[in-house]
Amino acid sequence: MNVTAQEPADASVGAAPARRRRRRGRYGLVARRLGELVVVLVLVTFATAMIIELLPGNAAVTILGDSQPPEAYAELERELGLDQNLFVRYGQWLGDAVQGDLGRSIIPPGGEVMDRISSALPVSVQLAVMGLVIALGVSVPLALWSAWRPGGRVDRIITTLTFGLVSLPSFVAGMVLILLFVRVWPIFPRAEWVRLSDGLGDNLMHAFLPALVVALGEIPVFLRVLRGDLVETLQQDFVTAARARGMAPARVLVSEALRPSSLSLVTVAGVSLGRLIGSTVIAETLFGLPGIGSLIVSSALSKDLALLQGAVVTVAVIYVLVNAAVDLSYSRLDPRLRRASA
Amino acid sequence: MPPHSDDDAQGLRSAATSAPEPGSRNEELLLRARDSAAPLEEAEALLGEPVLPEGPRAHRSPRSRGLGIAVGLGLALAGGVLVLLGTSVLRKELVMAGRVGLSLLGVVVAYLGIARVVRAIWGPRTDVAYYMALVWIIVLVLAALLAPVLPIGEAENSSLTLTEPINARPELWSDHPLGTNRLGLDLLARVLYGARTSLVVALVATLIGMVLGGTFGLISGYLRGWTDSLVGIVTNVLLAFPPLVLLLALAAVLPRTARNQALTLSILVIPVNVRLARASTLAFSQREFVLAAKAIGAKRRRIMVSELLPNVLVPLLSYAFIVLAVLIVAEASLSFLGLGIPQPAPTWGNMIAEGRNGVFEQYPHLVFVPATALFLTVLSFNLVGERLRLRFTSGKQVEV
Amino acid sequence: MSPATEGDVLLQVDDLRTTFHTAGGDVAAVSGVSLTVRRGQTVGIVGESGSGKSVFVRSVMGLTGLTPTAEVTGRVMFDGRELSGLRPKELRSVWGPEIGMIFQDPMTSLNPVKKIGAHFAQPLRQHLGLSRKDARTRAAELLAEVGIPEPVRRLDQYPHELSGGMRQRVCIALALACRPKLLIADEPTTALDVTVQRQILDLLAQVTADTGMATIIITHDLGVVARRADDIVVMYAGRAVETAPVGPVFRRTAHRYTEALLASVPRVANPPHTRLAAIPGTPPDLRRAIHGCAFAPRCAHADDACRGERPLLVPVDGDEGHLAACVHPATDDVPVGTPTGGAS
Repeated sequence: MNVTAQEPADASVGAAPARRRRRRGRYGLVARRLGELVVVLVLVTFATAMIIELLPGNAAVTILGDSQPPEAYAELERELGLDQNLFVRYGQWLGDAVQGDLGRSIIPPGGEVMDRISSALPVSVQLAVMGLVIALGVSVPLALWSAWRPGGRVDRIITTLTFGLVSLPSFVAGMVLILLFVRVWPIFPRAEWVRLSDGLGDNLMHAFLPALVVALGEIPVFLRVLRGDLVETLQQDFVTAARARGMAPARVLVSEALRPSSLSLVTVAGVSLGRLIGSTVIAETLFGLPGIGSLIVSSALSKDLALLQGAVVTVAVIYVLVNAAVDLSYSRLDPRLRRASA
Repeated sequence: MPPHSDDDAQGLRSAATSAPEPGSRNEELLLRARDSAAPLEEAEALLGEPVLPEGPRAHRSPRSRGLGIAVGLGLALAGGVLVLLGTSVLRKELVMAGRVGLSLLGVVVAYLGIARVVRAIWGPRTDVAYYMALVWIIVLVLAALLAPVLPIGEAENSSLTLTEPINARPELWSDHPLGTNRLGLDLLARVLYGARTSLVVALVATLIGMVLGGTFGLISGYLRGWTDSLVGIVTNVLLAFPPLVLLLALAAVLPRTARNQALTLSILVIPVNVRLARASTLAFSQREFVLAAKAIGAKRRRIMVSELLPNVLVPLLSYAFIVLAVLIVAEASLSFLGLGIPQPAPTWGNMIAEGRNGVFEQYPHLVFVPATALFLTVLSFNLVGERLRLRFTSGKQVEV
Repeated sequence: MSPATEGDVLLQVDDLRTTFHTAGGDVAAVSGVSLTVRRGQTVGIVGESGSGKSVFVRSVMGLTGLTPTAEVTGRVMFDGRELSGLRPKELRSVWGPEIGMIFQDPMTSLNPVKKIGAHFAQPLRQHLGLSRKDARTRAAELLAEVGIPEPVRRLDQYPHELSGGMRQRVCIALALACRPKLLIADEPTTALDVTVQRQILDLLAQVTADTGMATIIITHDLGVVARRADDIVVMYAGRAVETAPVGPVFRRTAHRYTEALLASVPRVANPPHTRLAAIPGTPPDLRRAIHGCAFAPRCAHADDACRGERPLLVPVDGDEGHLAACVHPATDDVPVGTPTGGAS
């Protein structure tokens, strides 16, 4: 009896022209994405300008107070371009922005907006990255443990704790953490920021608690996403098949289940990274860190419009770019999709 | 301009991304989910519903019932004692961290006790947390509504509290059951008035978000074409801002009134509602009853209102509680940062902010009182919202 | 059962019952099924979806252990060892080297993000202790054994790059990697094209002949087991309703359900426009206790005796090898000309 597979040739025959076609297709895809990206960026920056526009009354009066000589107002208005309409102003701003000039901050300490932003950004980026790393380090093991027996005791406890965490605003958690670990049990130093250039150890000590506060906000989301995906994956036939071949549970979890499930986690983590870079504001405020979030808050409170606009735009642009990058890397992560994206 | 991806039609998670091309990826995930006819669960195929794993089944003989009640009451009492010890009695003896730990332990024990009592009386499968959440919400809403007529202290006008003790600690049977702040204003009153503000603002914002978002989602989902693209553009732009940053920017430029807060917060949740409504609309438009309405010549507006709207409303409403919880936290965060409703009008956020810069360690109750109220409220809304979401939607998560 | 000596018994299952405790009630997925499999023998378990056949074999293997709601009672003896009481760790040393299993859908039975070669790493290295290089060589050999052309190249491919039939062959190779004594095939061909089905079944037959392995084939399709199995167990609503060697099942069908199953198979020889004989009604809700014969509601020959007590498996016409749980078996019918049945 001849049992050799009489299969029709699969796609590997004619692989070379298929590959070429795929590559060309992928370039087209990338080009289209980039085009969309530019449009979104323009719209986002315009929307920011529109928001600033919402400031009621006379901006100059709001900023300088109402007891200044009229020339001061006039000069400020000219400086801010308030005597021209929104579109002209936006056009000017855009033109300057792509050359790196985002205007000047008018509230002390002043300086070029670009400079203020570039010194604040690394702080937030570091916080966001560290926060994500901590969050992943906590969520992945907990999710694995939880998903092995869905509905079991461990799962229920972890799910309950997650629920509690979601309901706890980060600034409350932050204050309690400060209380516990800065005052009562001084492991970590309070406030201030030590630049990476000034010493890694110090920097990490100062950054840990704020990063933890950031992480606490992300852990519930990561846990829920990963656990959900893991539970689904673990019901798949190939997992049962692996178990039926005698694979140990720990190995099953890591080797069989984790990688197929991790796709949505990586996506969510990537998007979170982009989102966090501005949203570290609570941690920065609590710990007095000079990041871009606190820059936004202080420029908002002092009506330092140029700085506010510059900072908001920076954060939004980063978010859009990171999202797009995550998007583009979908297909790399899942081998099934490499074909599909062609 | 990227239209909404069709994964929305499946109501999949990670709607937080404005990713244009997840159609294929998420479709793969969904297919994987559908294909996983869990081999063990032929029972599921029979029942047509998932086999829910549960804890051990309790026998319900009358004797064990009485025992359950007794044990439960004992635990609850023990928990209550622990909480009292932690919050009031052991003030001088134990370090703050110890007292916090003790109180938390007490709360957990008390909850386990109460849960046991409830289960002994009403059956081993009652969802205790859910009912407690409902109770809390009802009590809070009632108390907040009745605040002006309740016999509580002064919440806002510090000129009336010149003779009151300042920074007084909570004493349950005194004039100030939850203590006072540094202006002598009564914390219980402030919590209740703060609840009024927070709840109203969040509720209004949720409603506006649902109405506007739902309408646009429904229209764009049904009419497709350039309406859909336009709504898509606006939604994507809104979603292109990290949420907190958007809030900050808007709060920065608008005068800080409750009305503006509500508007700002609603903008935050409009995109989610648009997506939900659009996904539902897309899913339902394919169904026969819409086709039937079209076939008898019903006008588009009529179809949208009488056929689609009731169905789209269901997922929107079921997410409403979760949205509410998120907005309460958002409003509190804004207040905490100083960009919300300004003092002396109380909101939970600005009450917690009174503990900044070292005040917390000296007078912890200034933070713990509003924080506990905030936590319990948000938790309750989340619990109720989660149950509604599970009951009324297909189950797949959408990120709010 | 076919005559054989006592020492030949490889798997003995006695009165296995599996109940799922769910939110909607207790589901009696398997209620008292016994089975005997001898070395080198092929047993077919036949039944429609929901009959409990998959749950049955998974309970026999012990795979239900991960579901907290499942409760399994009964005794399972494999090769002289009692499987039913083993701890998970011990069971894992049985799965793979002693018992192999292949599943219904080859599309979901292989890990989509792992290459084919990587799948073999676990059984070959964990159970047989082969080095990486040896494992790779052996994996290629195994793939060749199941008739996959260019086996070495396949090792580096992903499952989605193979066709359905090839994937099932890979699954068979994986199950056979440690040369188990028993192979359980849960609907191995249901998800495949008809032409490929036959190839896979022939492959299974060849492999079992070569290695002397015992096989259990689970299917809803009588045609699959008609010429391949030695003995057949027909299951309905979690019970075994008829067990016999393959010949008598087809030629001297006893239980009414088996008879209806056979009658519902469309035959090419029938004249055109012959009505398809479907079995009226639906399988029972296993959440409710079933009184009497489970098939009675759908059976044309049922009477009060059938609905009273659950019929036991009794010999048909005095043949100890052919058991049926039927009060009014077809073999009692007065023959009207042609004999019943008609195998494929």
